[in-house]
Amino acid sequence: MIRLLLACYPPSFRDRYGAELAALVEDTGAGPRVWWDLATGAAGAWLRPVFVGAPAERTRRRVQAGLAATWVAWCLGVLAVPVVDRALLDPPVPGANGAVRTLVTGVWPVLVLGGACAAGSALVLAWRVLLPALRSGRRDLLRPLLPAAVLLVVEALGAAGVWQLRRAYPSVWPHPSAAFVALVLAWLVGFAALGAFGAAGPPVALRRARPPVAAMRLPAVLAAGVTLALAALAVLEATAVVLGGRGPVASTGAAVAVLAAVGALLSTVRTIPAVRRP
Amino acid sequence: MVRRADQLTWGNPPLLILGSLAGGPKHGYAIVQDVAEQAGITMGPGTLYGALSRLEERGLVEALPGDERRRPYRLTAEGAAALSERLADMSRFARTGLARLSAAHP
Repeated sequence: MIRLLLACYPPSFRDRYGAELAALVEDTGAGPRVWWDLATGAAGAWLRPVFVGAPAERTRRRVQAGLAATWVAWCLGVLAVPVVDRALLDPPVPGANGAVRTLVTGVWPVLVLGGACAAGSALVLAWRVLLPALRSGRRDLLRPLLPAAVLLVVEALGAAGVWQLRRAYPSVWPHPSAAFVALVLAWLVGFAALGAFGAAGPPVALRRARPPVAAMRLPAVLAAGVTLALAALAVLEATAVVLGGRGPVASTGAAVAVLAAVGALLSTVRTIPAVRRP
Repeated sequence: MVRRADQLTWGNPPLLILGSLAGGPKHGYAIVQDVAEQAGITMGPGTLYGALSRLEERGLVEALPGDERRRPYRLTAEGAAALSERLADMSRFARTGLARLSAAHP
């Protein structure tokens, strides 16, 4: 339990205080009060991260944490888009009028714009950080990225298989067998795992690489574009849900998008001054 | 989480930590013990290191070289000045409160 709670602290906090915190828990003993204290401490450390050390290292950690937070927020926001889309329009809910449809479909171009910024940021980081590290033999950077890469291939193959089955046996589709339903469920579980590993892998690799601020400056600027897209996406989805009738699934999707956008905005507001600094 | 011995407590974690370090460098467990003895307040580990990290970020305390698991901390000059100022305020408040009490309830 204690190890799990300690693992809930942000990486920068764990790097600096993790060993001391674990030693103090050993000395004072554990119990429900200590569990609660660590849980609230971890939440506080995420909400208001602390960066100590020499000024240059603090700036580096700030920018690195900003990139990681924006990436995780983006993954959450992207996940919310199809959820809200399906919940409001497939089949259309009674309140899904023209305005709601426009709002929901208007999310997709925003998603593409944000995705382009995210992809640009990731490519620059891969070019400036990942490739040089791999050339110098740092294979440990690949390890956190591998699960998402493998799952991406498996899920793509699975989706292609389902699509082929649908095309080959259209009459069977409305009454699928239990085995087929189980396969689809397994695909969905894999998709959720892909989301989780996809969100967590790149930040872990970035943390291991410890890139200099100069290498992260352009990705951080592009990440600000991701944050703007995320904010627009959250506004569109929340408005669509408010206008279209607040079903539980659509509301949850919109709430996730809003939370992701707020998190990304807070992080970006703190990161941009660090990027500007010479 | 700060566990209080009574409801009219006066301490907040950063102040308690600065007050404890005023007596010399200490590591986390020593700070917890000292605060419990001096103020009757038990600080949880998450509370202690949350406050300690902010104090270190603001340059009010600094870590000394030592065992990575039990690193001692000490007050910086800025930390000593901040603590001195706050204690002077508290001292004025205490003197005024005591004077009023003795006047109203001799």
